[in-house]
Amino acid sequence: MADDLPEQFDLIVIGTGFTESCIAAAASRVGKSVLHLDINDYYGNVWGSLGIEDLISLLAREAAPHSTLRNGSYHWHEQSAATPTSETEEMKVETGQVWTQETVLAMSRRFCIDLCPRVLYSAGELVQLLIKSNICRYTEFRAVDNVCMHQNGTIVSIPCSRSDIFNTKSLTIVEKRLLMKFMNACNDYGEDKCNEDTLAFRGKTFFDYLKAQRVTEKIASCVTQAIAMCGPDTSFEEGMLRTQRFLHSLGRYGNTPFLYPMYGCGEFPQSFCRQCAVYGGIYCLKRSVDDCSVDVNSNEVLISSAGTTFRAKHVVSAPRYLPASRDCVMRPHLSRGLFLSSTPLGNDVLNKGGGGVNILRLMDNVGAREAIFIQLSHYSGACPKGLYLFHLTTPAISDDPASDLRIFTLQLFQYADPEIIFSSYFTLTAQSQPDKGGADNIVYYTDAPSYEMDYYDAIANARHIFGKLYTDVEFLPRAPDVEEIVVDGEDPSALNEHSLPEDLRAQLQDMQQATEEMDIQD
Amino acid sequence: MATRKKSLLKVIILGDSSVGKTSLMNQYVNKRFSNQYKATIGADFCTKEVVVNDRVVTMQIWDTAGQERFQSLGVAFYRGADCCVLVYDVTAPNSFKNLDSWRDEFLIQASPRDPEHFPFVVLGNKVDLDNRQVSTRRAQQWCQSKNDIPYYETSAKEGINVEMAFQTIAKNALEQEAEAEVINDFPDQIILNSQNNRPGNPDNCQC
Repeated sequence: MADDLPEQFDLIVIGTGFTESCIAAAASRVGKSVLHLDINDYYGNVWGSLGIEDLISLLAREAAPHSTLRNGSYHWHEQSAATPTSETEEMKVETGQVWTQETVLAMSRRFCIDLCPRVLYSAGELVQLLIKSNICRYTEFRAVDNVCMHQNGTIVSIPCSRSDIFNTKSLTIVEKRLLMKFMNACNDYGEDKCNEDTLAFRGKTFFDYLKAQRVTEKIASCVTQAIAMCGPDTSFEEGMLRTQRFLHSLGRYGNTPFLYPMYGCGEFPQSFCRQCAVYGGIYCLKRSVDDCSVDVNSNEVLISSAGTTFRAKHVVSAPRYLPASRDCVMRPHLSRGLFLSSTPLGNDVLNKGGGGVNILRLMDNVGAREAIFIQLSHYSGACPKGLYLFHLTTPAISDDPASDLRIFTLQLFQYADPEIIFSSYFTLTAQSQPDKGGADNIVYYTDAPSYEMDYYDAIANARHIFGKLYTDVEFLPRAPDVEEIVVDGEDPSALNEHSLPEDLRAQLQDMQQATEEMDIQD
Repeated sequence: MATRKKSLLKVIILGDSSVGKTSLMNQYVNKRFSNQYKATIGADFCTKEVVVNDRVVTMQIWDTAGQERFQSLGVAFYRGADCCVLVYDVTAPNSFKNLDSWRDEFLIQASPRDPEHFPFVVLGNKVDLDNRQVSTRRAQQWCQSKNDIPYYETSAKEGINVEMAFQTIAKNALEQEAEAEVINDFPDQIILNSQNNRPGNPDNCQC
C-alpha cells in the first residue's frame, strides 16, 4: 500500500475487538493521535458479527496465528422428511420459503452472526456508556421479548413487570404475593444495606436467603435461574446485586430488562471505531503487524507493518495479534454453539408475530455448570425472516465445544424439536495469565471475552488500560453533535466549550483571544 | 421501518479521499466552505430537513469520517442507506476510475434488496478549478452504462449545483424508501438517548 501515513502516533491499537475499539475511541476523543490496525477485512475480531459464508470459512480454515478462535466445526442438516408439525407447517406457509443450504447461503449477507453474543441490561454499564459518550447515535436496539426458564419440561417466559406477575397463569395468587414481596425486599436492600432482615445473611449464600423468605420452589427457581442468574454457591451479596441489576433495568424500554443491538453485537466495535475516526483516528483493515520492538532511547514502540515502521508512545493489542505475544499460552475459555433453525424454540406465546428475541439461562442438574441461550429472530436484524439463530455459550471445560455443550443442547431440544438446518461449534480462547499492565508500561494487552451477559468486564478492562495510559483524563466524554461544532470563524459563543475535545477547544480559545485583541485595537 | 412512516432518509457519501465529500456536505447543510483541508476531523453526519413531493423529510447525510482512506469502512456504515452519492474530482482521473470499485463495494456491503434499481447519484466536484481532466461526456457515459445514474457537476467551493444535486438525492432516496417500506419491517426499534433514560418509573421498576 503506497500510503502517505504519518509515522508517529500517540497510540497504536492492534485488533478491532470491543475492548481495543473502546480504548481507541477514548484516546482519540481526548485528542490523542491514534492508528488502528486489524489483519482481518472486517471489524470486531472475535467480538464481531459475520455473514454465514464468512463464518463458515472462518470455521473451516486452520486457525491463523493471530486468531483466538479454535476447534471450529460445522454441519448442514438434511431437513427431516417426517411429517411436519402443524406449527412448522404454518411457518412455512407464512414465509413461503423452503430453507436449504443453497437458499441460506444465497442470503449470506443478511446474517449477522455474533461470535460472542451478548444482551445488555437496559440500565447497565454499556447502555450508560453509550449514552454518556453520545456513541448511542450509531446504534439501534431491540428489546428482548422474553426472559425464559425451564418449568416442567417446557420453556416459559418469566413474569418481569408488575402487570406480568398479575397476569401470569403459571403462578398461584399466594406465589404472586410472595414474588412481589421478595422483589420489593430486594429493592429496599439497595437503599438500606444495613436493614436488619438482611444483615443476618451476610456471608451466607443467596439460596439461604431465598429459603428463609419461604418462597415456593417455583419462585425460587424463577429467581435463581432467570432473575439473579446465580448458582447454589452464589453469595447473598452477589445474588442481591444481580437481582437489583435486573430490577433496575426494568420498565425502561421493553417488557424485559434486556436489549439486543440491531444487526448484532459487531455493531459496538464499529461504533467505537467510527467515533475514533471522527476525531481523527486512522483506520487500516487487512493490515498485519510483522514486528514490534521498543526503542530504548526514545522509549517508543516501533511497529512494522507492510514495509512501514510506525512509532508510538503506547501500543494496545488484542491477545496474539502482536507476534511477540504468540508464545503466550491460550486456554479454552468459552465453548460456543450456533444453530440455524427454520422454527423457533418454544411455543407461540414466546414467539408472537413470527418469532421472539428470547434469552434462557440453562443449568446442569447440580447447578455446577451453566450456559446462556439466545434466540434471535429476524426482528433482531441478525437473520432473514423465517429463520432463527440459536446462540449457546458456556465456560469451556475442554477443547471440545460440542461435548461441553451437550448437556445443554439435550436440555434445550428435549422437549422442543426445532428444525435445525445448520449447526456449528467453536472455542474462544483466552490468555492463561491476563496481562497485568505491561512491565514496561508501553505495550498493553486486552483481555479475551469473558463469560458474561453484558459488557461489564470488557468495559472495566478498557477503562483500566485507558487509565494506565492517560491519567486524569475523562473516559469517553460526550461527543458533541455535528450541529454543535462550529469552526472557521463562526460565532464562538454558540459553543459549549466543555463539550469539545482538546484540539477544538484550543482552536476556540485562539479565536476568542484574537477577538479580544481586535477589540483592544478598536 | 414498516409500521411507522419513516421520514428519516440515510444518505451516504462515497469516493476517494479529498474529492470534496465533506465540503459538499458542509456547503449543502451549512452553506459554507473551508479551503483548509482537514482529513475530515469531527465530520460525522449532518441532518437537514427537506421538502420532497410536498412532504417534509429529514435527510441524514453520513460522511466517511476518513475511514475510506484505506478502504476500511465497516458494514455498519453502509447499512440501511436510502441513497448513495458517489463523488469524484474532475481534476483527478483516478478518483473517476475508482467510482466503479466504490459502487461495487457499496452493493456488496449494503446488499440492497434490488441492486439494479438502487438509487445512486454521481457528482463530479471541483468544476471551479482550471485543470479539468475528466470530460463531462466521459462521466455521463459511465453513468448511462450503470442504469442511468443521475449526474451533476458541482463546486462545493462556489456552491454550484450543490442544492440541485441534493434535491435529486433526497427525491430518489424517498422513492427507494417508499419501495423498501413494503418489504422491510423492524417494528419497535429502540434508540437510546439521555431523554428516555431517566430513572425508570418506580411503578414499573419495583415490580
